[in-house]
Amino acid sequence: MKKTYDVVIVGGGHNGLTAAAYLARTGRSVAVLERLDHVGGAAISAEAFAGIDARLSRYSYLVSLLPQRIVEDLGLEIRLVRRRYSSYTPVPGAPEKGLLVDNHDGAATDASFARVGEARDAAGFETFYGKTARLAEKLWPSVTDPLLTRSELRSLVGDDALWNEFIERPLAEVIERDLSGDIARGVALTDALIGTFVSAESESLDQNRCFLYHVIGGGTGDWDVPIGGMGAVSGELARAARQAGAELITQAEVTAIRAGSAAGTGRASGSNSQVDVTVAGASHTLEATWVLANVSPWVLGQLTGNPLPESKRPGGAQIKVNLLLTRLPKLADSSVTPEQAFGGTFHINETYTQLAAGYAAGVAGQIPSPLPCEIYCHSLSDPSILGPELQEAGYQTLTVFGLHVPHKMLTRENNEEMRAKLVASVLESLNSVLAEPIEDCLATDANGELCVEGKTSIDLEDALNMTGGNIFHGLLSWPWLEDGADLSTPAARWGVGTNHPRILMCGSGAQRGGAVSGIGGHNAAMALLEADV
Amino acid sequence: MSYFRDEDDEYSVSLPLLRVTGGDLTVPVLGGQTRAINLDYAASAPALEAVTAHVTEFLPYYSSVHRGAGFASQVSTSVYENSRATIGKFLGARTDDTVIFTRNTTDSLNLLARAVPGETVFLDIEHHANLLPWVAAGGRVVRSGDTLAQTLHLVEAELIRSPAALLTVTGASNVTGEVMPLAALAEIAHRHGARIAVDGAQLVPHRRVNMSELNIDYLALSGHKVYAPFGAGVLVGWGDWLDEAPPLLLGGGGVTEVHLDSVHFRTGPARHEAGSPNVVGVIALARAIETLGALDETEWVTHERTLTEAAVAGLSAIDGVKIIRLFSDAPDVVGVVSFTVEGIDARLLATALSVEHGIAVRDGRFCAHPLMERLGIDKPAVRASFGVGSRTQDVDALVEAVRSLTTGGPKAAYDFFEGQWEPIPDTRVRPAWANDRVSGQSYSVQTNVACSPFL
Repeated sequence: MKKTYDVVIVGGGHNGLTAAAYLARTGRSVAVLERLDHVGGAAISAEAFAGIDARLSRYSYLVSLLPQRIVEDLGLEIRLVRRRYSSYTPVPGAPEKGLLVDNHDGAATDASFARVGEARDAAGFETFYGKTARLAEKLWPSVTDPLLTRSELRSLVGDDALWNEFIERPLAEVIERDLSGDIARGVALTDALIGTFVSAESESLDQNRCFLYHVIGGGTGDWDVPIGGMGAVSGELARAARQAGAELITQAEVTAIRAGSAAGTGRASGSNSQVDVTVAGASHTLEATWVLANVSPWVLGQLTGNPLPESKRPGGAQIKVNLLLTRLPKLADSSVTPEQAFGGTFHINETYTQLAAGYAAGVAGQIPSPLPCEIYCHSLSDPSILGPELQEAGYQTLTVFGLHVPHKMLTRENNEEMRAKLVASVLESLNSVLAEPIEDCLATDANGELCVEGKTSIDLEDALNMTGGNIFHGLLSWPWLEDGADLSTPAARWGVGTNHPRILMCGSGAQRGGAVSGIGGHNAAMALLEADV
Repeated sequence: MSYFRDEDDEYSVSLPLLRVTGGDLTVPVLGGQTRAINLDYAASAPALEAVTAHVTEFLPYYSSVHRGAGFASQVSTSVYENSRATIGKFLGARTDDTVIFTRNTTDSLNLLARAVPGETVFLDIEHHANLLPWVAAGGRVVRSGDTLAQTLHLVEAELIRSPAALLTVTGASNVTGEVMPLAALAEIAHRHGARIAVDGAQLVPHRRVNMSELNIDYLALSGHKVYAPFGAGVLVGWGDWLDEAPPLLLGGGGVTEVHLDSVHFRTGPARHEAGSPNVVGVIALARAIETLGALDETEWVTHERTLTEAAVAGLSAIDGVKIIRLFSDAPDVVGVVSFTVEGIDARLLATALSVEHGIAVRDGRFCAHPLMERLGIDKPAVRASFGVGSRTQDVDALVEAVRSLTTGGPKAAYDFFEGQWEPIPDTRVRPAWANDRVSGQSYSVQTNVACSPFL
């Protein structure tokens, strides 16, 4: 570790690694300071169960928003697998039937819609997702460029009706217009609720923003399985950053940031920024021209001594559960194999009305019952995360994302108790659509414990310093600037500005920065390169 | 003023702008002697008389630098070290720039290439000195456009496509003499977070270059091209990367502390200047830069433009002669005019210019093979180049000689032998001290010109 760097990046998550790789390649000296003993942040693989050779993507799972441009620029060897099945949704209360959306077989999908009594929505789905595809195609290419204004993007989209439906009006309207069945509407809505506690009708349009980022990735909205798990993605980014000359310093907890006034790297003009950091128990103060904050805006506020008001403190609204199974469970629906059902996103109790009821329960401070959940099975698409013996024995991993559990329901005091309750709710919700209890399929770890790992929003905050367990570091913002917005600085143009000209937001809290995308890191690096003198 | 308007209402310059050593040299031609006409400044320029005089003045004081306690040694040391400031000042370097002495531009750019801690973007029109080090370092090449405007756009697109640490570009083409828009390139590089290095080998001998005004981060140049042919070159620019780079040479002077199991290298210029330096070369280089820096800029540029325009006008009027240009919109061209000819092998033309007319030019592909390829030129060309020691008469003599050789052919007989044309018989007598190698001794020698094979 040196004393002075051109750039210090606070937080070794995947966006910090992305920014480090770009900046080190321009010859700037870069240090990435990571609190934990490993980099990757929420994009990691971990052996979650004692003595079990299974490396699960622990906190984030699928890749959609990572631009090919970043992959190519940084020479990342990341392999993604596209899932054949889009989704499976058993009918709540009648799980012997379910909707299977098969990307490769339109006729089968049509028949499946008919079987759940929503025949009309086969065409409705095509209409609805045809629209999101048009939106994706127009909006996606702009995410690694400086921000356009709302008017510019609107005219780029070139379809005012489309724009109004998805951007100007609450998402409920277009969902209800294009789709009529409770299941179809629910499937469509879930993309608006991942990581966002909101109703479909909200005038805040938070649901629309969340939805937008879920359907534009790669210009298609596909969510793909990273081979080797999410740790392989961060591993490649770390390799690119190291290879470019960046120093990745782990067990380095930043305790304070003081912004400086230096105009650029390399030449003495003005004062450097200072970063107080504790590395393996010893305190240091590093100097840097630039500080990139790969932490939530809330955490940055704390570190810079300008805390945000309590009202701006973000909170998540989900319970995450990782499971290891000895085999996939039997389904109540005999027309679908477990491999098909778990081959895409498995929606449980996520009909439109259930989602609305779940939101109402969450608002009332209650755990929704049943808990709307969705499941993703990594090992069906990529068994490589399991050791050979587990693969041979047919083990599978499941990751469940339960919705509408607002962070404010949790406290440090009740976290243990709430975790147990939430995990139980998840398993109960899951069991409501299976032909056998999921417990019968759970593997046990070396200590004889069931392989079930629950992560509440408090757990995420503790493990990752992700404020309130909010997976987007705060509310998402549109991928454009409002007309008349300040475009005078590179930081503003790239959507990475903070209160301090020499500190740039580089993670999920940057505009367009949410999810495993590297976009926040890329854009912060580009803004820095433009602003550096 | 050394230029005037002659009867044909054209400007001409009848006197050199500065006197050069060898300006009145006589050389043998077939059938007699003639005043040597040196139109090969772009390869190596003659010493300015001011430089020669300074070297002569200095030589009695020559002694070891940084090592000796004697008076002469201290004089040598201070004049060597002061050269950094002189050169930095006249090149408009910033006060915190490092001035490192090297052998030549190639050396300087190789040093920079090993110091760049990231990716480099370069153009396909470069001299090999500003091409091969970057190819070896895995740099990214940008194919230039047909105009400078397009080329600026292409460079910017590449820096936007993927950021780089450094953009490196020639100041002026060694083949076409076209001056690159350095201020605009620097702005583009900086706008996208890159630094800019300039190969000043062909520009500094012809134009005032101010690093601060142009916002150039690194400048490399050769003494032998700026009228100081004593074997020194220089790299000027930011010290940070260079201080971190492995030393160019390992040896005495570059270190602070040496043990058999550990070495501490200096920072600053000493890091890369191990071994006894080329003091004479450096003080010559400094005096040359200083002398050029004292020229009236308008007068200097006018002198060269007058010659360049006369050469272009005269040569283009000859059937079969085609002037080589890269860009249709280049606003400025230094005293370098390259051309292709029809009906006579360019190498024979160059040889006959020397053998029959005492005119020195260069032929070949000018150590810029990708550039020639880009222009679709698959045969050797001829380059005439001039500078402060040149006069209109020199250019006129060239035009007349080329006209006579391309229309009437050479007067003497020539044989093509080992890749070169030679007159048969070659009756030209060399100075006694320059006669063939010592009899009975045979060491490996380089007989061909630079960038062989196929010249």
